Amino acid sequence: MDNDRLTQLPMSRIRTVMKTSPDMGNINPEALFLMCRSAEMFIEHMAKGAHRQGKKSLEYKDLAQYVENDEKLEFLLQILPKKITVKEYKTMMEKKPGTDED
Amino acid sequence: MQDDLEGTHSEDSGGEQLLKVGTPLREQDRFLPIANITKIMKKSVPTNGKIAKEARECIQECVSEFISFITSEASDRCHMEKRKTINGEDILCAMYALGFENYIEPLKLYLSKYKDNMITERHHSDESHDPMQTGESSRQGSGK
Repeated sequence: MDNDRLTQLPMSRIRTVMKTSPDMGNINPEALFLMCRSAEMFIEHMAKGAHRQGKKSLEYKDLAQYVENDEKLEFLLQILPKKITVKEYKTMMEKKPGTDED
Repeated sequence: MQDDLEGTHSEDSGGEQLLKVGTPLREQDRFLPIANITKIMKKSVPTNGKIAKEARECIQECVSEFISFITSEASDRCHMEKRKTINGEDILCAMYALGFENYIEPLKLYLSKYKDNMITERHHSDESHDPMQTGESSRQGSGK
């Protein structure tokens, strides 16, 4: 049917995810539809934004970099830590004064 | 696997579950299907472009986080106005409040298409005297 073609993500699952928020009431069908569409737009926005010009692949680090550079994506910072090498980590720890070593 | 907290651990494999209080959330309850996500991502990068598995999984988590983020804001607004049901406007206002105002115009366009579809469906059901049809959509998408 037409409404199915308007969305690419399963609305039942969107509702399940929404329901994990604390103190959630009911969700009317319009709100569910809008949430579904905006989730799709969000995926496109992230993929397009993070993808580097000229590069063929999209990697985790591209996403981490993109999130760091976009203010409104701040809410994602804690689930998208930028990865560092062991060497970088060691350098970082050496710079920190008074860190307790195990 | 996770230990049960207080609730029972449901073993059914259906997509939509009643979330019992205390039942630990399964992966499939917290995230959207990765196949659908990958499909959408592929449209946003050049053809033949590769998307690392880690990147896909990352987006999968990010989308759920995004949904929760918007939902909380919409839910707060709803509570403040002493309503129990989140409506479309709550979602749009949340988008605006959280910095996603550029989504609003395209969303409104989609919403009008959706409403047109609903009206068309209602006309069809009126003609066929379907007693089941109500204001609420009885089909929430078949998860394609």
